[in-house]
Amino acid sequence: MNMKAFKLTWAAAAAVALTVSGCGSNNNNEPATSASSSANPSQSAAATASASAALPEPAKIKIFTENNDAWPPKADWGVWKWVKEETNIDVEQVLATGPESLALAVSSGDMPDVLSVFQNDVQKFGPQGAFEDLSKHMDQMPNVKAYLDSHPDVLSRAVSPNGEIFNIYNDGAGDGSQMVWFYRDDIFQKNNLEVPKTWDELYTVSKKLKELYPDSYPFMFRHGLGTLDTFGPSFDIYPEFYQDPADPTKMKFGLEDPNAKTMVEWLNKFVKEKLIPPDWLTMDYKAWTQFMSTNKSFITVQFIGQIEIMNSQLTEGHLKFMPPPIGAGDKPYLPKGGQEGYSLAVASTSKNKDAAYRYLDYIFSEKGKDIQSWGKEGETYTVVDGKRKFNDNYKEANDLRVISGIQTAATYGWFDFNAWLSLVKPGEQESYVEAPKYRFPVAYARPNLTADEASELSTSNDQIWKFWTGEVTKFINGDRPLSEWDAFVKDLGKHDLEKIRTTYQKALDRQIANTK
Amino acid sequence: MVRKRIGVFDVVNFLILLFIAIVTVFPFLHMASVAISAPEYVVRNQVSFFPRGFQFDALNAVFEDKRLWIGYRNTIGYVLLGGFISMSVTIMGAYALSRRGLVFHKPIMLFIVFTMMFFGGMIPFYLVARAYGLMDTIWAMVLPNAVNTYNLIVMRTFFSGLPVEVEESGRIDGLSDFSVLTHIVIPLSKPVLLTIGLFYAVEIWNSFQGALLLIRNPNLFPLQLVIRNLVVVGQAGDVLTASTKDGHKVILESLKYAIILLGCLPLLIIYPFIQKHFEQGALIGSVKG
Amino acid sequence: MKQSVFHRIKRDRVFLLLLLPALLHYLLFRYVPMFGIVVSFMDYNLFKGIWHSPWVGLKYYRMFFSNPDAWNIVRNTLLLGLYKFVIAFPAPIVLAILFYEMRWKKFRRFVQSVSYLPFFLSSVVLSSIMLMLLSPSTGWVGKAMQTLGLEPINFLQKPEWFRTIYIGSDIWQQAGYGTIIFLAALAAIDPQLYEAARMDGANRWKQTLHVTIPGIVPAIVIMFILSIGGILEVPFDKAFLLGNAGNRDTADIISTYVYRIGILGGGFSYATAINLSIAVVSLTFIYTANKVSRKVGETSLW
Repeated sequence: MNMKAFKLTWAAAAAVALTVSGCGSNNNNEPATSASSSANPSQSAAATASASAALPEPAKIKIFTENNDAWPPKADWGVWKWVKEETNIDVEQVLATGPESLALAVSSGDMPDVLSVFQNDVQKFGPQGAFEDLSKHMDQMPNVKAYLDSHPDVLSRAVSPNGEIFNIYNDGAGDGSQMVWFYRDDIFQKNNLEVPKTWDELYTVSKKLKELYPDSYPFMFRHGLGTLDTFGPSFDIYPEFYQDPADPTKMKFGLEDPNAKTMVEWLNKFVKEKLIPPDWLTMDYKAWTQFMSTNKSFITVQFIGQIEIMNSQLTEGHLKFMPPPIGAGDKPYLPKGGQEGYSLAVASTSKNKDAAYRYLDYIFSEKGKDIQSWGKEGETYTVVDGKRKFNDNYKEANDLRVISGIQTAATYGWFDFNAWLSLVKPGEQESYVEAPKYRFPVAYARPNLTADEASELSTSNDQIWKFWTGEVTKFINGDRPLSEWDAFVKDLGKHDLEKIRTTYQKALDRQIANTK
Repeated sequence: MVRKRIGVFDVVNFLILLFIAIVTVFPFLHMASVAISAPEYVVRNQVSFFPRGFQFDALNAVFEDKRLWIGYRNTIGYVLLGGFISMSVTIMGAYALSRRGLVFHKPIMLFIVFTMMFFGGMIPFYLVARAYGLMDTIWAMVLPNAVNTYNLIVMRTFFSGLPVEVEESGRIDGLSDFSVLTHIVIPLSKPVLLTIGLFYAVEIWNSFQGALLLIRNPNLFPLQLVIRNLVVVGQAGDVLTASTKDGHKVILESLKYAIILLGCLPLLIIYPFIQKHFEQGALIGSVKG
Repeated sequence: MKQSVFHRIKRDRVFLLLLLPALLHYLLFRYVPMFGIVVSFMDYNLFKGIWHSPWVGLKYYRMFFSNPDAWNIVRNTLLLGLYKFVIAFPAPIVLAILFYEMRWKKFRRFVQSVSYLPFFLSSVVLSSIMLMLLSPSTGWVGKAMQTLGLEPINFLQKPEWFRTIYIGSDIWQQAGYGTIIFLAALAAIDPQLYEAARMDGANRWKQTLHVTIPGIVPAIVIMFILSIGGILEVPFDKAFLLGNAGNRDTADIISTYVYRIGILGGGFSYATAINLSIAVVSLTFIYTANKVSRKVGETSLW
């Protein structure tokens, strides 16, 4: 189905929704209460702006989210309370308990009703039928529809080649989840060191730091090989498949680029000379904070919000944003951030789909955006001189997450980032202003696949991923000499690289054709 | 024995065995020592066999973590329930199979033993357990491996070895087939039953894969899964946020070791008392099937 | 004849009833999954269910046998099984003889007790301890190497170390407990044989060689045959817990691969095909081993 036809279907669906009243709750056996709430979708969109006089029938849904060390989820978070107040939905947060949680949930067939998922999750499980096709239910979610219409970029990421929408991407808080570089500016100042502008300088400065602090590993990161996604752009690549910025009609596999070798060479050198901790591959968040707060590391790559979080934890010392060092090419790049990676999907096996749609519709409404970003007046903020000011118990931006769950996964649809910025100390605002200046021209994303294509590739993707992560780890750790890099690149072909490339290329061609 | 002279071999043998003892004990001692040592010594690697600068912050922090206790509670529950189910089913089955001239004895044994050689594999097992609705229930932890074929056969062999006369005399006294089991066979087999019961308990206590596959609700996680999530996956760090109020620094190593230590503490405590039965366990297995 | 079968069933009805739960267990958890292998011949989709998934014949078997990873995974599994067989098997025999030769009984008793203990640790605890001890930046081993002026090795990220770690920790965990059966065999050796050997002027080494070892050969043979069948049965837990991107070259075995492809990746059909291929090979192994053991050791599993 091409894009135009798809939009038409939509319009038709919306028209049907307008005429058939209460269709969203048809399969509910409580007509009396539900009829008033969803009698008219367009009205209910408007109704959210007025007081929630007539609440829909109570419902309960489970939402699957990450479990973040830095803001451990609590049942009494304000965000869930507000959801209850606005929509009469009780939310039970189901936390990822381990790296395989989502996959296990899907395999078990007993998924939470709403799931916060990434693109690769959707590409893997969507075509299998794990998630509901939301495009068929837009009549129940007028606000979501309006949101998608006003965010064509989000829409194009979400629509599968067959016109299905398995997930709705969040928006607004992407600026808060970019990966950036930062460093201990007090240490640099004390020792009269220059902020490195290239990987060459990064190496020299790390060497110096290692001399000054022999126990330290001056450069560290905690996302293991995943950090290559952030390093890549400073070498003008991403590790796996993405749209080639030089020719946006072509898919490119980054590791084939000679710059990938340069990147790995550098990392190998850092590991060899102990400028990176030897167990870089398996560092967790706690280990990272321990290194950063005990003068064992001075330069790092992490989420942008961590600068402020760490600064408030550091008893001595201070962290500061730094432009990404150039590894190849002539411009310093960070991954194209700003887009949010997280999205929301509804389980196809859910028994509470109507409530799930209602939830989505609420968080993607203007009012939902406002409440889930700011909380409620008097409760979380007061208005001073026409400007909102958070209560004093929110001392820093991250307190929004810790105390109320604001801006945590699945608690919002689109976020008013001003809420977050209003709590960022003036001294820390700089990183949010600076980071967008270094965006790589293209995002690290792949075009969406059809179900057949996805199942065709499911083992191939696993295979090649396993192959390259294993080999690249060896190269970085010095277990395989870099002289064999070309042989490695050649061996990629043995692991279905061409099959994967052709499939994604086909998908990209289709996507381009559809958007024309 | 007459061999009295202590030769070179005896000295070497002594040293080898001493070395083996040290190598075996070291991980436990080291683990305990790091868990209760002050961070400054741990960081400098000055803790090997014995703790330095006693500090119980890591243990306290772990004690305050709900997850570990939930794991303990669940595992104990699984061991009790699963032990009961496994023992009942195994005892009844073994008793029936030990019946001389039991009808269909051969085909039944073949039916049972074939499963030792051929197993459908992880995926069919998973799909079946899912279809039975075991997922995310306590039954997932106690039913799929309720009968250990090896234990069943060992027990049957033992029952068969009981003197015929005792059973016969029971029947003459008017005991039913079932009462012979409860009044004669079981009391006569206490040591074997205890040993096999212990093995079932250890098996359930230690089981990990089943839980990994079938349990997703953290409130049902057994201890092993909790330890794995905390130590291997590395979620231990988040205990910290709650536990550093008193200003002490708890370091990650001590914390993780404290978790592992608590995970095997019950075994370490009861081991001296039940060691005999464990030894028995290795021997009864050698009885011919 | 028919009558007598009915008669016997009636006679044994209580026994059959007592046996029922066990048989039900075998049926539900061992036999029904065997039929689950049909999914390996279809494009099984979890959400369509078994009745609505299309048949694809041998597609997934072809896929497995043409997959470059497959050979590696089978090799990893086989090598771990073989190494375990060759290296870990003799360990308890040697240890048992050392115990047997130890004359200071109290000390012997102590070392025995200590060495049995690790056998009862769970794979999770064992793997966690290994991870902790072997961590290059914080583990005891790494730091000890540093003190000795050696370069700490990142053991768990190096494929070439995985098998050593796996087998080594297996020996640490199981050798002690494995001695029990050999010690029982040793205890059964007639002391007069030693007497006679001494008369012939045999020293301790000769006595060990000519009396002790022959005395336990039957036990060794039995254990040897029994463990052949297990070569392909490398347990999931430890390989899964100790595996990571760094050592996956050697740490990825059939069961971990099946878990990743099947349960995590949703490739149920493919993973089942792998499972079944291996199970068939394994069955041949066990069957042969048992045949041999019947002949040689006059003992068998059944």
